[in-house]
Amino acid sequence: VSSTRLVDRAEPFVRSLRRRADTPGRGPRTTVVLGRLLGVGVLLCFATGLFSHLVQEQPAWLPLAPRPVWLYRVTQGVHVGVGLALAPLLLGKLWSVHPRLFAWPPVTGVRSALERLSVLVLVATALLQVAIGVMNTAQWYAFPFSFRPVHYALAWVLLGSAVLHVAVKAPVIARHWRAPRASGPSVEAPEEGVGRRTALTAVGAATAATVLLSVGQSVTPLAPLALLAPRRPGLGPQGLPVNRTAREAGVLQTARSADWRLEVVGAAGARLVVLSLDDLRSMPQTSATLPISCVEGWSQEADWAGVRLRELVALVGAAPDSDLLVSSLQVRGGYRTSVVRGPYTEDPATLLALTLGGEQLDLDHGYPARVIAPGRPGVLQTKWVRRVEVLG
Amino acid sequence: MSRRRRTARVAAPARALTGALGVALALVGVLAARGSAGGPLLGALLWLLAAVVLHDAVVAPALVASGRVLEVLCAGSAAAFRVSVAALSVVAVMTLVVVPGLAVRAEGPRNPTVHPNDYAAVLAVAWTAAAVVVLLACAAGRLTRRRSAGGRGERSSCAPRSGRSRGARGAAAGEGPGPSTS
Repeated sequence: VSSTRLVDRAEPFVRSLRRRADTPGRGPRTTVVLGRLLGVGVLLCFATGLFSHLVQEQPAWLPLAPRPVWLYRVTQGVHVGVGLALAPLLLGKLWSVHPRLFAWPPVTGVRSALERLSVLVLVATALLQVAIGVMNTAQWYAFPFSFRPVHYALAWVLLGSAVLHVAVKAPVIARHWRAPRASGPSVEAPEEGVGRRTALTAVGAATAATVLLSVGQSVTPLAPLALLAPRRPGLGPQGLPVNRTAREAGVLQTARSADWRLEVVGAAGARLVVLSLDDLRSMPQTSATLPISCVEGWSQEADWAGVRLRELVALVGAAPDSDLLVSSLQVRGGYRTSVVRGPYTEDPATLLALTLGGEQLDLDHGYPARVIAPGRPGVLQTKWVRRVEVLG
Repeated sequence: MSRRRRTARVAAPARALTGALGVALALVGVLAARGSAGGPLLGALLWLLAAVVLHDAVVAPALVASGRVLEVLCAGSAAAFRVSVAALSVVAVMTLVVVPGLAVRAEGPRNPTVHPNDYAAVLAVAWTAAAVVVLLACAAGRLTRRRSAGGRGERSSCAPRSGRSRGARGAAAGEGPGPSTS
């Protein structure tokens, strides 16, 4: 009896919430328009995010190529730029369907329960995925989990639940895919609240502003507008931003030590060549203009010079397309080592860089030597290199 | 057989297949998440729930309330209302996007090249600009309505002045009826 009373009391309350939330812009046409944009954005973010994941993991079965040199810069810039655009689009789309939250009765059967559950998964995943994505670009790790595995898992769940949502809502989407024909004022037209055009104008303006004020961190000509971006191109030692400093990496002494030597180790430790910085400087130097492209979205092109990695490994008799393990002096944090796959080793622009912009590398940029290769994420461009080992 | 029926016969299996594909893709994510340690997974689930609660209990009602306030301020001017909603949406999203940056700047960024922008100053300027835009748009809207009401004589003096009843606004703006999603 008490549960019946509770339902009796809840119904008018929920219905009143729905009435308050209802407004003409909150119709299926608005939802479909925003949903299409959101769908394209989710697909772009998924594809570029998966690409970044694979480039970082470098599974042996995947043929990865270092060219074009700008590829990772573009895909990751798109990933972060579109990810930021998803914030207003997602809020707009949720706004357009908000009254449905107060449908009464909330569930009419097993099918509607499943549908509501799938929507809950979709909404929760989309909100969290965008939120932690923005937090990660800002390096605000307030969440109690590791970013990479959770962002990766949520990407699949988000894509899957979005595809399922399209299947469930296919008839509504088809009905409202095209704009309704203008046929004069409808007698049913509500007279108050936010209309469709107002809603779409607002979401469009917010999306444009967010992207325009952020994208300059990877699109250099727009750098002066990057007021919301965590990075500004040109700002940093030698005019280049830094992620991990020498102090953070714990290499302040070891990297500056006169005893620093580079070990080049042949396959299975068969041969070992030890080189000083002067030895490296006396080898043929190659220049390359390559971008540092961070997984957090910022990127900047710079002029590097140093020894080609393939010429370095030739000293221990290794083939120019050998897989390599590069180790850093770094004692703290991730990415102390990185694997350089054969195609990258072989590329003539893949360097053990000694200079940046014609000057000796700054300590925070990896002095005395760092890897710089085309088409690799910044985290794999190992700094403060101490050892290059031929694998297999 | 009618075209609609034929379409429906083709569409039903396609929908089922699409739905199955969606479930399969989501399961890939679930399996990937199971590969992580138990603690972080529980944390992620709590954050998923918190994201929905935060949106439904804070963000969504705040949007409704802001819309109502702007309706009153704009007093029935469709153009003023649209400009005001757009201006507030821009600064609201800007604010949301820089919350992590503000938090990191408060804690102290890891080096001077991270978060070089003074987001608080950027937001102060943006909110001031948005407030000015809203006030100007609303003032212009009210002025226009008063002039047009004066021009139409006595009949128009009975025109709705409050934003809560503005049939003229909807028609003038060409707002679609936007059928209910129920």
